Amino acid sequence: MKARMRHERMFQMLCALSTVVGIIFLFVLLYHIFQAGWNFLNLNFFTNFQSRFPIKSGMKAGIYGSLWMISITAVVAIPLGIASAIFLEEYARKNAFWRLVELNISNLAGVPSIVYGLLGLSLFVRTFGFGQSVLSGALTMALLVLPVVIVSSRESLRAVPLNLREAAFALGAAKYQVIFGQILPVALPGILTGIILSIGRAFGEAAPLIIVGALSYVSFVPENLKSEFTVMPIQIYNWAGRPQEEFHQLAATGIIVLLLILLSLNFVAIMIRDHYQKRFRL
Amino acid sequence: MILLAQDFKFASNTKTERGVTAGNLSDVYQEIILEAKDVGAFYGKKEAIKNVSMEILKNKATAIIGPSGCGKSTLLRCFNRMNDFVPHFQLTGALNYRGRNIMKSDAMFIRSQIGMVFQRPNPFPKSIYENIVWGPKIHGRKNNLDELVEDVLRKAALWDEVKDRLGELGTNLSGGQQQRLCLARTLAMGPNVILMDEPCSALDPKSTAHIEDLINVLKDEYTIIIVTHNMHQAARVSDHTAFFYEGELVEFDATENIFTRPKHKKTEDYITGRFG
Repeated sequence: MKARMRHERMFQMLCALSTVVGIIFLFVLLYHIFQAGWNFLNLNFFTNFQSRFPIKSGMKAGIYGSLWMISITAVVAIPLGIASAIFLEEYARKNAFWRLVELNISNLAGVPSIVYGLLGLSLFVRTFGFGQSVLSGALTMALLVLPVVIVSSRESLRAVPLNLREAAFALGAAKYQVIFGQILPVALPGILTGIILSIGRAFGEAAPLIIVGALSYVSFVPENLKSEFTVMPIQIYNWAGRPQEEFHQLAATGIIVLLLILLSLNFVAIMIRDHYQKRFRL
Repeated sequence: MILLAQDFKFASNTKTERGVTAGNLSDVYQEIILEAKDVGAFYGKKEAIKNVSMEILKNKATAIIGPSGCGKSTLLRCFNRMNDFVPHFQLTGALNYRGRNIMKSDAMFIRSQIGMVFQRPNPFPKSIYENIVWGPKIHGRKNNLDELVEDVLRKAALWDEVKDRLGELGTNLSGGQQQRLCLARTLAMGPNVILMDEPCSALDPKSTAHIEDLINVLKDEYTIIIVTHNMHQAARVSDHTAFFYEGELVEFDATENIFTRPKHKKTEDYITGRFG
């Protein structure tokens, strides 16, 4: 008995320690970034373009570019992703072919982002002739997040209890009526969470966009789909590579803004999930 | 073994009915609403029902009893095509609803005519009102929905409990209320037949009594088929009882006969509790 209590306490300590390690590193990171980036966090940072002079430098091009890119990505990836998930989960026959397709989609979610960049370069920039535009970048990002959206949407759809589907079918509903009337509303929180997390991922990606041709120095905001553009992570990367200390601080400021946007996205995801989960109790 | 009639309390109107033999309940005066002819059912290679033939009379309550895994739920779910969703499920023989072949009919039409109440209450995670009107709405009904809601909630004896909170979530009701909501939802489709798959097995005794009272009232207007583990329940609510064992219909007769003068040894053993 004594030995088991000792083991219990040791195990508990070990788990607590692991948690603390993670938290410590997170706080050290946040402390460093805020310490370095605090000085430049003012209105100029949001309204100015890049400049040779750190004090005049801002992230307007990156912020606008990121927002343009993410909006287009969302418009393309969300409907495609949810519709594919519905097809695979609700309509596709469970045979070898579709199982192979499913397996490949799951694998695509793990392909390095730079590979998507190469695909985007040859497909959108060259073959389709979209050029090094925000459209090419956004479509590449859409391809990147599509597998994640599909996989997480499918899991949410699968989690809808069978007895709810049966209840709907037993009332003589057609399948699309069951899907739109009963399954999607219940699966929505899970689907939205997956979407927002993958949008967050797209926000933080730099590698594929560098390949597709997002520019590092941009002193304008995108005006249409064919505009050249840059995004926040590229600008951060660029500043961090400069020799002057002030530019490193600017990079830290950029990271703060990026983190704030990502955190608020996650916050929205949690709010939406909680709002809908309250409605549904098993 | 002699069984006494007073061991089971019977549904009121069964006493005067004549005895009917297994597989043939046809009566000159009564319409056959559902009919199974040599029905066999397979889950893959596993045979769940063997050569079942039976006739269900209109506006009667028919109980299907038998030990677990005897195929009674499988048969019930054949009547409204709920087995369509089971992979590798196969059906042989013929099922007829008012003379039309169920398997060749439009499943959505069949299900709107033959409603179902499930084992576990499964209201939609929507308001009480929405729970009831969703079915009629998807079938195109737009008018007089408020009247419909009140009407079916009254029929399901739930109106007085929920009339002031129709906007609240159906899932927040108690288990017994949820099951009556599911019944009201089924009634809202205006079905002719109501299938009940052990509707009381997840409920407390008081809610069970409530549902049983409802069945006794509703069978004047609807044909009810109820699968149950509870033999006393079968005796209390049904006019006819079918006893299934290992996928076969052993005996089908007026409920009173089944419980007092069973013709088969298996039936007698089951209802006296020697197995099951």
